[in-house]
Amino acid sequence: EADEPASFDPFVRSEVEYDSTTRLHMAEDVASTRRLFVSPALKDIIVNPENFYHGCQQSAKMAEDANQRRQVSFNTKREAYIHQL
Amino acid sequence: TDEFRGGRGVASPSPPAAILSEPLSRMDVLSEKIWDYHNKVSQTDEMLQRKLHLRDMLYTAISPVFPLSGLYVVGSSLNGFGNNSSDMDLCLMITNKDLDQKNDAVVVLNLILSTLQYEKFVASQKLILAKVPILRIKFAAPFDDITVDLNANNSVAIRNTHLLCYYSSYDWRVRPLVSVVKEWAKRKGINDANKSSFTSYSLVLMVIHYLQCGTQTKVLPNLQQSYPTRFSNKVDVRTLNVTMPLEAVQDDIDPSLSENTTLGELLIGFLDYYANEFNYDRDAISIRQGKRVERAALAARPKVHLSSEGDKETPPPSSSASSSSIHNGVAGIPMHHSMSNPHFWRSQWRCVCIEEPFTNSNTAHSIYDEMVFGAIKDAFREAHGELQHNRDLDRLLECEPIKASTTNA
Repeated sequence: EADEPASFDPFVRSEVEYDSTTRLHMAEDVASTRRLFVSPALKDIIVNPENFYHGCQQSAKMAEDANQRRQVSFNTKREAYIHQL
Repeated sequence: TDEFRGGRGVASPSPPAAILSEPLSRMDVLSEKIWDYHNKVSQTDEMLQRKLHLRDMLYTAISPVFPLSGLYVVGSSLNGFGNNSSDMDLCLMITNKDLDQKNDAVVVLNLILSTLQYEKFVASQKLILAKVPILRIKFAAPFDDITVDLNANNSVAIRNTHLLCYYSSYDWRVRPLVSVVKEWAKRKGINDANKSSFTSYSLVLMVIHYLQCGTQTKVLPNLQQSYPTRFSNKVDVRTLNVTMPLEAVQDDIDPSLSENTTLGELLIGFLDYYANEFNYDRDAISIRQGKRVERAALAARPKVHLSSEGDKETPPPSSSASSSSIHNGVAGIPMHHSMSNPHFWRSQWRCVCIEEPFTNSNTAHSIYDEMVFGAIKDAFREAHGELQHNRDLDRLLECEPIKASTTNA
């Protein structure tokens, strides 16, 4: 199913991809029209991006985890109720 | 008559059934109602999946401009305390260092804004300039019911989402208790940071604090103390993983004892604690230390000291907290400026003191109005009196909003 929530591999990205010079130009354009500037720190982040991909938060895993937590709390509640009787 | 109370060799007769069963069964009705209410309003799996799908779509659109970045879900959508109408807070991670929020974060969010304007699934966008600037994104159908608040590199939000997630599933009673407290506060009109009252984040911390040290037998431990490496603010946010169970350590929780307290008793106890026991003038809430502390000790710290990553400087994460600051006038003032101003500092800690577990800030700083503060305390007393007397959740939730209006309203 095409609509299924997909988790992305950090190294497989969408078709469009800009090189570092283009990205820097885009940032400078955006900054200058809003009286902001691209600081040296931000420039470094844009030109030499580091991997911060949300590998530990992939969608399929998160959905499964939330479901499991719900089941566990239902079961614990049932046990506690029996305990309290 | 003493012989009847379990004298040796004599079976102690039970008290008449009517005396015991009556309050007990009424208490159970209250507990069941709290539980049912929670299940009615808490975030469904379907809603979470739609949010995650939306996050993934946004990531596909953003990653050409910020390759290798991470788009993290933070706040109530993932911390276990979300309800089904929750909006989604996202944090775009691009660096391990502190990202300057006054200029650099605004450039980043503007660049994303201009990228997303060509996406068909995005309906509208608004850049909100606050202490932590936010890009508010609304979507076309079928995602038109979800609003996203995106921040740039405010990593403390990832840390406390992770921490709260473990508190929320430590004990099954934590989440239903929070659900009801949030709803009561909302109806009472005291869950609205724009009106000088509590953010949802502050309410969650108040419940956790109560379960840590306000109950007869402890329900929650101090996770930051029990798992210092797991919940340290030095840990790389990329490694924080809520699907990893906590390894068993020795803590001071006795589940067999703590389980004797019903959900209904915990709710009454919560209201009692903040109505009658907590001394707002003297005490501050510290989840990090797992106890009440002297507010003077917290407020006296003049400046947030920077960790090596600089994360401690970042303000509280919840979106409601940040949008609150837009309205209360502190927003536009840069962090370093406001922090060094003693008047700001005093006002930050004036009424209710709730220490953010990863920074030195007060998450309840939006309560700076004495009138509203007084009305909040009255609301707790009234709610406690009523619930203790009637044990009726419906009546508790059918309340009128507090009357006090803020001085600047």
